[in-house]
Formats: sequence, C-alpha cells, structure tokens
Amino acid sequence: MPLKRGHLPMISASAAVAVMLVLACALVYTFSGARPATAGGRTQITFWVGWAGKELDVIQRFVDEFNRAHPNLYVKTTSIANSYQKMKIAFAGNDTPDVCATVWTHELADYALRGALTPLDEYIAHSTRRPSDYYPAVWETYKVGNHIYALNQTMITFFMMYNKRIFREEGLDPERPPRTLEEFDDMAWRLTKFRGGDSKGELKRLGFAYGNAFIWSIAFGTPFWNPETRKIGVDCPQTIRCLKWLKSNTDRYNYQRLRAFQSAFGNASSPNNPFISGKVAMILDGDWYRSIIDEYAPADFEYGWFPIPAPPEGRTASTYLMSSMFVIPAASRHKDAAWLLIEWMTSAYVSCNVHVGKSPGGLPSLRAAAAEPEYREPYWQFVSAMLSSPNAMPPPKFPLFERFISDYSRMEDYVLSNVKKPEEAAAELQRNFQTEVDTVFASIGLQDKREK
Amino acid sequence: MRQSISNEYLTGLLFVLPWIAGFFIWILFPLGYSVYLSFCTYDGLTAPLWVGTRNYTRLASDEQFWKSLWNTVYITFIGVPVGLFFSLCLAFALNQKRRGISVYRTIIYLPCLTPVVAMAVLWMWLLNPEVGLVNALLRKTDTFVAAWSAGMLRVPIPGWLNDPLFSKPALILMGLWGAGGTMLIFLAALQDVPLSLFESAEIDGAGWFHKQLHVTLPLISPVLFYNILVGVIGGFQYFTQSYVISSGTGAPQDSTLFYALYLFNNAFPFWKMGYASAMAWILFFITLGISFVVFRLSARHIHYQGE
Repeated sequence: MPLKRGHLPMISASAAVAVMLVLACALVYTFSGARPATAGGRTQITFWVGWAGKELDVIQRFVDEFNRAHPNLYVKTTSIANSYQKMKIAFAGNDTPDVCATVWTHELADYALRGALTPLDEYIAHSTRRPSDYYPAVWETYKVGNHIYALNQTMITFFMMYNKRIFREEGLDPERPPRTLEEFDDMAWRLTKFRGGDSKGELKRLGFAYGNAFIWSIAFGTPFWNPETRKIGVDCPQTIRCLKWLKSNTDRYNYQRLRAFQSAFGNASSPNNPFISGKVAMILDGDWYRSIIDEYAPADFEYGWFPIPAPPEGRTASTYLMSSMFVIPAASRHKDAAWLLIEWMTSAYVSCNVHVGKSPGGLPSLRAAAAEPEYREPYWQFVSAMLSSPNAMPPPKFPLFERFISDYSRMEDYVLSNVKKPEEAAAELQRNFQTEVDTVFASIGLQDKREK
Repeated sequence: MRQSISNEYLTGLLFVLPWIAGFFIWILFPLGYSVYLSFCTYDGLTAPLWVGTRNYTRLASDEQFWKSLWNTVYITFIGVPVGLFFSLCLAFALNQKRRGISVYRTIIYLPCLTPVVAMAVLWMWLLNPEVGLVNALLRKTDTFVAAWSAGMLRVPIPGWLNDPLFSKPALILMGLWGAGGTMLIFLAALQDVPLSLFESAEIDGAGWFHKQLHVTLPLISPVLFYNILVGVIGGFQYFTQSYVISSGTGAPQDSTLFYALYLFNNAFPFWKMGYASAMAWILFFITLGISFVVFRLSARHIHYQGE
C-alpha cells in the first residue's frame, strides 16, 4: 500500500519511540552491570588477567583444566594486558570481574584499604593453605592490616647479576662478586670503559648504571612506613646516606653522561639488552632476567648473581618483592566459585608449570612447589634464599604507592642533577607525601563514621 | 494545520531526543559532576567527600602544578608560533605552479599520517644523545667547524630529551615534523587569494614582500586566526608526546611534565580524581580566557572577504 503523506508523522513517531526504547534498554543494561551469569547452564566466572600472547595461552590451559574439573562452572578469561587502567575504571563503576590476577603488590593496599577487595581469611581457614606453606615475606605481601587479600603464583625478587666474562677480562675473579658496598663501587669503576681510555670521554661500557634509589634505600635501611603511627619514614639518615652515595657515584661518572649512555640501551627483551650485549657489567633487576638471558643471550654467556650490597649499618641480603596478585573484588557475584579458581591457579601444580620458556619464569611462592627438582639448581636456590631473607621486603602498606614511587624517582633525579640537596629533597617528599596519605586515611575514616 | 505542525514538531523532537539524552547523560552530567568533584576528595572507589576549596588552595602551593603550567605555556606560546611560521613558510614555498609540485606537497604532508605515538618513538631515537641521527650530524659539523676555526668554535651537542634545558625545544622540533596539516590549510587559503589583487599591487609598485604583507596576509587572516586558536587550544592539551617520551613521568626534572599529563597522573595513577577535576576546570578557564584574548586581539586584524 503506498504511503500517504499523513502517515509519515505517525510512522516517524513510532520509529522514534522504538529508537528511544532501544536506547533506554541499552542504558538500563549498561547501568545495571547486567551480564549473563550462566553459560550453557553453568555459572560463568569472569576472570581478568594481565598476560597476553604465549603467557595467556599457558594460563588458559590451566583455566581449561579447571573448567573440565568443574562441570557447573565456566571461567571466561579476558586479557587486559597493557590496559591496566581498566581495573580502576571497573572498580570505580562497581562492575568488576569475579576474579582478577591484575592487582599488583604495590596496588593491594590502595584497593584493600578502600574496601574494594574481599578478605580471603575465611576461605583460607577452610582450605589446606597455611601461612607456613609460604615464605614469610611472601605471606606478608598478601596482607593489608590483619587480613589476607590476595594470593599469587610466583614472586619477583630483586638482586644483582654480573657478567663473568667481563670480570675475567678485567682481571677480577669471576667467582667472587663484590661483598661490600665499597668493593662494589671499586669494581663498578674498574669494569667501566671509556673510549680512548680517557675517563672524561665517552662511555663505552658501564660497570653499573647507578640509579633506582628506592631499591637501594631498602639496602640502606630506610624504614619507609610505620603502620602504628601511619607515618612515612623517608626523611631519615638512611635515605640521605643512600642519596649521597648515589650522588657521589653519579658525579664520578657524570650524571648527564650516564643518562645519555643509558638512553641508548636496547630493549630488555631483545638481543640488544645492555647486560647481554655487554654494555653494562652488573645489573640490579628481578629474577625474571633469567628467562630473558635464556631467550636472547648466546649459549656461552656466563653470568653470576649476588645480593644487593649494603653499607655496614644497612640491611644485608635485602630484596624487594613484586608480583601481580589474584584477588576477589568486593563486587564479585560468585565469591565461592572465585575462591575455587584462585585456589587452583595458585596451587603448587599450576605455580610450577606456568612458565613459557625453557626455564621457570619465577620461583613459586609455595615452599612445597619451590622444592620441586627443577628449582634445585643454584640460581633458584639463591632466589629462595633471597625470599627467605629477613630483609625481603614487600611494598610498604600505605596508599598511593604509585605516587610515592613517582615522587621517589623525582627526588632522585633532582638530587643527582644537583638541583636539590639530599636533605632538602627527602624532607620535601616526606612532607608532601605525608599530607597525601593523611588525606586518604582521613577520607576513609570519615566515611566509616558516616556509614555508622 | 496546527495539528500537523505539532506532529512534525513532536516527531522532530523525538528524533533528536536520543542525541539530547546522550548529550545530557554523557556530556552535561559529567561536566557538572566534575565541578562537584573538584570540591571533593574522590579516589574512584569510595564516595566523594566534600572538602570545599581545598583542592584549589593545594594547587596554589603545588610545585608540580606550576611547573606543568609553565611547560604548557612554553609549548603553547613558543611552540605554536614557531609551528605556524614554519607551516606558513612551507605553504608559501609550495604555492607555486611548477611541475611536480604536488609530489612535494604530498611528501611534506605525509608525516601527518604517522600516529603521534609512532612519531614520538621515532624522534626519541633521532634525538638520542648517543646514537641519534641528529647528534651524529652535529658531531660531524662540530668536527668540520672545529677544524675550520682551529678549535676556536665548537658546535654544542645537546642531550635533547635527557636534558631539561633542551627537552622542550626538542618537542617543538618534533612538532615541526607534523606541520604538513597546518601547511595544507594555509595552502588552500593562499590559493584562494585573487590574482587580480596581486596585479593591482604590482602596478602600484609593490615588491614580493609587500605583496605578501599587504595582500596575502590580510586575505588569509581568518585562516591564520583559526590556526592560532586551534594551536593554542591544542597546546594546552599537549599530552601524548610527553607521555611517550617520559613514560608518563615528565622527566627530566619535570621539564616535560605538561598540564594534561599531570592532570592524567592525578586522576588515574595517583587516585586523585577530585584534584584532577579542579585542575581540569582551571585549564578550562585558562583556555577560555586565552581564546577570548585571541578573539579580542585579532578582531581588528582579520579581514573577511564577504565584509
């Protein structure tokens, strides 16, 4: 039937109403956070991970195993690799996945203090897991206040590595790395090479690329945080000594020249890695470096490892712990099933088998798993000793750690560039950051009162 | 008749309703809400807490806020004029009827097709103080100049992005790489200038320079004004390049910490959405104020052909 002119407004109005209805439904759907809770009669568990590529394939293999073992559950894995901002947005919108392995150790306090995570104490109490199953420092990493909020598979530890060939070439004993800070500085200078042999000329090789004040401050004994008084402990003699030590060394090499030399370092995950290519003789990095060396270094690449040297009054065998963690967001709709997944993914079996390359990607956090034969070689035994050290340190449990690290690097940059004195810079960081932390605690405290 | 008008009116209104609803929900409400948040501490997880004007008073004593503002003013008031001048020069050079000129125009415009992130990474290597092409050229020049002047003259070899003195000039240099877009707009305007006016000027005895100054510039002044305004607004939103080259830190010594980067860092990595909202509103008023000044100052110097 041909359309008459009078019909048009009615049809248009109907179409507009239909459009509005669709829009309204879309809005309601969006704001309600509605997602299918079941898939083929099975309860769907949403699981966010930060891995991609081969690593994601390995994780998915274990998720598939879990799905096969639980006919009433179905875990849907989503990778948010390189877009971790999504985590904060999901938490802000109260539309989180049921489980995520994307909260880093340094972010745990931020989420936990704000009540965004589910405490795992009850689940752990009813499981076979006990604190003694873990390295003490690792167990400490999972805690915020008196509650456990996370578990993980493998922990990253920081220590020193050195190139044995360069040691030999420079007349140093390749089996005897430095033991004291003085020895370390002397060796670093001896291993440094300048073009044309002129120490004022261009750098050809560095003994050590001085920097990373935060990790060195751990070795120097900076207390960082007092949970009782909720006070930051940066403005202290230990930090000042650390900054002065870093400055004296960077002055010796010329800070600008050091920075310029470092700026030409190749990608760590490539054959141009400065340690592998011999541009740096000693490095301070995480235990994951082993997999980089396995993948990119020539077969005859010789390297050794040793603890971060400390001054006499500092912390010996100190290390910093870092890892992405498995957590259950407070808004998770399937917490019991989420716990089952976490229990499985952090089990000894999965922790031992999550590696992609020829060798393990990290030492399992569970002692029983770390005792497996593949971790008996000297490298992993050393990592185990580092994890067992009383000076193994998780990130301090104050909020805004990302801000803190940013401010710490800034303080280092200003001191080493000779713009600020160590005392002035440390006092400034202490003052400014304490204000930030106080504001967060005040807002959390005030909200608690308001809810009551 | 009245019935059909009201039907049409209603129908029209219903059709634009999705847009109006979207505008209210996605633009107007967040805009208004950010005003409220700028007077609160808000971390995204817990409810916003009213703190009055504290965010604004803290900004006044925030060293990084002032540094980021200074860096942004620098890139806007030095980078934008330099970029416009360079684009205008290119447009003049390419506004000729010669064989193969379109090939040159294409070549100059091509870098604009490169994504900003890729361009920033490329320039990080070009300006690398150790292995960068720019310093390699400067070193060669230095050797030549030193030999020629018996060591009396030397060419400085800057640290570029590693040196707080040179990091912003390096970013301005990077910006010139993308001058093709503005150049194209200038070129279109230049080609619109009537030849008859040039001929009249020539009869009056005007040389090349005077023709450009008294004929071309007044006639392309609306386009120049548009590019200035867009450049100033873009300058105050400068973000991607600094985020890429400093991994979001603004190093060295906050010299590449631009306003938008510091705002982003406060909003997301630092969990200070309220503080970032206050910064956003200050930026809005600064941009508004400067745009107003640009409008007022340019009112007397812009010549629209229709007028």
